[in-house]
Amino acid sequence: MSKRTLTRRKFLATAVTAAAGATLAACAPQTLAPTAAPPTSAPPVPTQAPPPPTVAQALKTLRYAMSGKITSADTADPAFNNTSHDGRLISAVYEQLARYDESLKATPWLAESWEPNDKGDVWTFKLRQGVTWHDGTKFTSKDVLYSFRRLLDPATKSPGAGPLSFIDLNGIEAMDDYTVRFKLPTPNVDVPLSMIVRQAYIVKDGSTAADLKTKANGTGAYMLKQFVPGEDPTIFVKNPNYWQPGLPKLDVLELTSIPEAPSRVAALQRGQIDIIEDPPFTELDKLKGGADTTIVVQPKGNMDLIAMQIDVPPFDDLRVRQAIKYAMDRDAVLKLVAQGYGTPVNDIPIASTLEYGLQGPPLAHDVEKAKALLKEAGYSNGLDIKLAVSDVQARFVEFATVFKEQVAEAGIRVELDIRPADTYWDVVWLKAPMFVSAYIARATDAMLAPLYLSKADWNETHWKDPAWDKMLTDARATLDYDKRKALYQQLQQQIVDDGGHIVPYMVQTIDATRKNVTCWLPSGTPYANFTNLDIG
Amino acid sequence: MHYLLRLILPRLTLAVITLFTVSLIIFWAVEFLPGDTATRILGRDATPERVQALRQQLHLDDPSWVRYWRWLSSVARGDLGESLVSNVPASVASAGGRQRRAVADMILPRLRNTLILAAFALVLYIPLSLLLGIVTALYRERFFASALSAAILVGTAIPEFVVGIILLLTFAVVLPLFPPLALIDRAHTPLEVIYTLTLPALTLTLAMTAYAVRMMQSSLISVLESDYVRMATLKGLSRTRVIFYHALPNALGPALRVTVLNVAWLIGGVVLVEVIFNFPGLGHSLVDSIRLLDTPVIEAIALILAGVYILANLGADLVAAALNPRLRTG
Repeated sequence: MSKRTLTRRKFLATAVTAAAGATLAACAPQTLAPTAAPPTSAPPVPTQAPPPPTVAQALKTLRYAMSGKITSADTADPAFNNTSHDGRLISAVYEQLARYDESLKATPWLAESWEPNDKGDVWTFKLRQGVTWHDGTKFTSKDVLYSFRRLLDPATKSPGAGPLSFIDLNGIEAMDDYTVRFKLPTPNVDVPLSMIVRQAYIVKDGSTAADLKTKANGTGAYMLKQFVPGEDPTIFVKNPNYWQPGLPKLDVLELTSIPEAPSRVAALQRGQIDIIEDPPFTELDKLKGGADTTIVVQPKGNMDLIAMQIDVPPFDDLRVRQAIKYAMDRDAVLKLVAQGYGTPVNDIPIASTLEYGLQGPPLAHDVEKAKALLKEAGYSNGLDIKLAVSDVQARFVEFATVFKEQVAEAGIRVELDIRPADTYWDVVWLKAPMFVSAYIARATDAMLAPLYLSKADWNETHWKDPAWDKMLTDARATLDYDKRKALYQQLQQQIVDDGGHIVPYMVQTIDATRKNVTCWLPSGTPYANFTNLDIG
Repeated sequence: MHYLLRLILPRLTLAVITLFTVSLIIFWAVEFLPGDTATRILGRDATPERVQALRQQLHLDDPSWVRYWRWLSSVARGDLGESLVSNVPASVASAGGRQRRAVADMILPRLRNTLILAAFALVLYIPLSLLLGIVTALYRERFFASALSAAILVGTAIPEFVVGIILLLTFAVVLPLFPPLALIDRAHTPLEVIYTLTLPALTLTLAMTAYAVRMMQSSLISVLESDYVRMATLKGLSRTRVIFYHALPNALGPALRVTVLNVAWLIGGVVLVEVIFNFPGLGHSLVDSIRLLDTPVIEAIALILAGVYILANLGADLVAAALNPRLRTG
């Protein structure tokens, strides 16, 4: 047992270093303009389109299988980016002003640089020049204006309007063709980072909802060739005029959905597919050692969690919440649920490795303390609670079952309320007093705001504290990095100490690929990056 | 041939009434399910005001009977309506004024796929179950026939998705003979179709055969032990003639009924097999539309399934009449 764990750890360590370091450095095509550097050099000249491949020349095609289901509700409209298919399609075709780097800091993308004023309430973005839309027209500040106004317009009803509400709809102006200025109602020091929202892709000025639903005219590395909602495959072809010279390397990218894990693995092994998402943990050793297959590990990924509504008895008693947190053995739950492929997290879905992440070890497993707290709260004969769960997402039921067994030791009797997957997000999530949920990694502010602000859409735990809300606003307006960091950490610490979330771990995002696939790293966030991807 | 008309006409009249009743039941069953299309589409983004906006857009605010009437009158005109959920794909978006996909466009290609797979499975199933039924009935006292019967009994007990996974791992991974994904849209020649569909068709065949063989076997045994068969044998007729001319037609009845059920199952109930081989069939559409409460799509598929069931029953009655002259009069 110990030997097995040791080899796996060692192997993972090397895999991670190799993936994140050496391989990707070699894959990065060019260094993008650094943050806040004025564009001194001449605008990049659009590269000549490579000659179309002759008939004899085989197209370089990569077939990618996601684990999520496709549905007839899938859309190509970034403003309604929702399903797993939406996320991948939109990431391939559209681009944002900025994108996450590996530690989830903002790095310039369609914007070349940005600069706040002294107070942090006026932000000027310099846009990249020489970028064209797939239809051949030039990308300019008009498109940025249109995209943000559309997202923020209440009539659009985009889910992105909430996270972007720090921007004033009427405060966006174009200074010239390549400069956009955002005037904010309240200062925000991390605007580029806060703008990285699932819906905040730049679409072309004047695009109608009908255009955007199934057609995609983006600036991204791939152009959408075939997309029928609910039908496989979705086909992308190379954008020959892409603004990053030499990219993308693929001629064709095919996106398929194979929800059934054994079929996904078999399709990869037989070479019907080149990349698969989420191979089962039990298959990883075999896939890594396979003649034609290997695996790629991204440390970032999903965080499964349990939410307790802190205004509903018995969870309105802080001692009860703490007792439940102490009663859980985090290392054991990670081993049992995800076979150890992950890192412990400290009761907030923000990993310590991210910017502003809370340091320090997770809460220790302490059954005696849990019992004492329960006794103090008046539950000396133990506590009965009901946990709503469903197999709507991988690991949910396993996680809930392990939790139930673990806390039983402290006298907490959990009744698992297993609900149908179809209606889970609709009638259980946010409504049951205690339920299982999950989040994929995102930046600190982007996680705090939608989950814990008093009016947040996803306020799972009913955390409603005006003082906390104000502190978040203050943190966003604090120009001094160290002070800002301290505030963000204080905000997290309060949730960890008093909040209603139990977040034991973050699982790694693991893909398996054919051996000839290069420059691939799953993102571990809602934003896939197919730009550098290649196949030999 | 007037007995044929007498056989068919009342059944067709009943069929129309049945289809209408099915459509009513399905519609109201969907109405009573928790949530609605708007909340199902929005999922975790379902804030009350967004749900309200989408409801208005989809006309879900209209009373249910209005929506049912609208749907029914469009079906009566031969138009299955349009999906509540699915947007018109890029390739045809410029063609018409529709915002959402026509139900017929969504379902017909999948129905075609499903029919191809079902036909393939039936082609394997009919001779296989006939053969096994006859062999296990004739040699019921031999060891190999008992062993075969036992194996078939075990087969009945294994669910089809387990059979599917076993076939997938055996004949696509360990012995790489067939492809794991049944990508029928890329198979152009009949040979490619057969190569692509062998594993799913075999899975379906095995799932259906077990039960049909048991029916076939028991009815054939009782017929073989009947007086008229003994009489035929005593008259000195050849064994082949006795079995195929005298015994088999009378033993086919129960197996025929099972086959009707199997055909209906092949069209709509094989979603687990579709999932294993990633086959774009009708079962996928049914599950997806139920998950999203996309009523027009659910209705259309339900009507197709009910129709297939009615037609298969009618077909079985005709075959039975052909086999048994007594059914042709009266």
